[in-house]
Amino acid sequence: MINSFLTALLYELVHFLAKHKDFFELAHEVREEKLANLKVPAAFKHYLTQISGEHFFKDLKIVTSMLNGTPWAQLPLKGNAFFKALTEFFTVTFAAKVDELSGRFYLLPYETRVVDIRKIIESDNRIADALREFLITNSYQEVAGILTELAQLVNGADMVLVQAPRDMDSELKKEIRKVLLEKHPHSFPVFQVNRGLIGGFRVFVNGTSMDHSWLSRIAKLTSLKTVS
Amino acid sequence: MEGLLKLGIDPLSILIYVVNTGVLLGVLVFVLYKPLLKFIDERRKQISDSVDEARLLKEELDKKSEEANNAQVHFETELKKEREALRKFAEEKRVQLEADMAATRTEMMQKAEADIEAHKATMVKEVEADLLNLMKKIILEIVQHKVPEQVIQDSIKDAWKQYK
Repeated sequence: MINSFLTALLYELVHFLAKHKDFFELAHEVREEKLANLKVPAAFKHYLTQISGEHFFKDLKIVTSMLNGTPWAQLPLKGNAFFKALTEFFTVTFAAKVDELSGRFYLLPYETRVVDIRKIIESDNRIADALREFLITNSYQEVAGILTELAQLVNGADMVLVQAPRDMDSELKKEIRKVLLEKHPHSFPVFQVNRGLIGGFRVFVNGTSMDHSWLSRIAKLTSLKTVS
Repeated sequence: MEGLLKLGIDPLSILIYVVNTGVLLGVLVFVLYKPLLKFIDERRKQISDSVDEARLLKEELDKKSEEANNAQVHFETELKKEREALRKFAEEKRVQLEADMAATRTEMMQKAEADIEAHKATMVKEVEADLLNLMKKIILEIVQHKVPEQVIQDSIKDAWKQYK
């Protein structure tokens, strides 16, 4: 789950705010300067520059409820600024990191995964540790499921699934994700290998497919009616 | 008179014989002739009555016979009419039955033809489906195992270009 990440993030934010007690009284530009040295994702820095103290503490209360085990569906996540920043981070920055991992990564031994993930998330702080743990201790399906659910609850994002017959290279995944994010904002496109497709790929958006696979071409070819 | 006596004929005896004969005739008339006549009259009347009765019976019989003849003629006429009506009815039924049989036969033939056509179409479809499945299996067998990895990767990129 993302609780470790949220805990680490809150730790960093609370420590930062403890050092800057008048942070929410500062102008946006000054806030940006203060946040320059804070090691949190850019989405949260932006969030902190925009949010008021009152709203921050309301958001903090929701995050705490989440950490205490309240089901996500019972929390007022839709449109919440903190969670919008969270989903922006996960669907853009973090998703790019996930795309760098090959499909085989999740099948590797734990030690190997620790080494491999280090190459992708290099930072040494609580947040990076939490993200590494998140990727090491969960399968791709679990990670994708959590992030898709979060994106739906917070932004009402579409469910996007990309199936290809082989694991795609990270550059192509990034490109596909970028284009799909433009078409379906705030979504977390999930990449899945389906060898049965043979070639090409297909995209499911909320269950509706756009099929560019060889399998569908063969199916079309072999389902053509002969002229009687 | 003496001459009759000389001849041995006694006139008194003759008188007695005549009286006797008269008495006898009188007795016979009263005792035999009259009852006999009465019997004969009665018998005649009885015969006459019987003849009349027989005549009446004959007349009755003739009348009955005529009625019977008339009834027979009427019955035969009615029977003839009935027979003619029955013949016409039978003829109509025969024509109707033949028409029904012809219609049924036509319908059965059409149904049989339709069944044959449907069966033929099903068989053709099944054969087509089998052929297409076979083609699909052959194509899938070839493309799943014989296509180089690079071609598959290129196919993903090509599909992506189309999708964009």
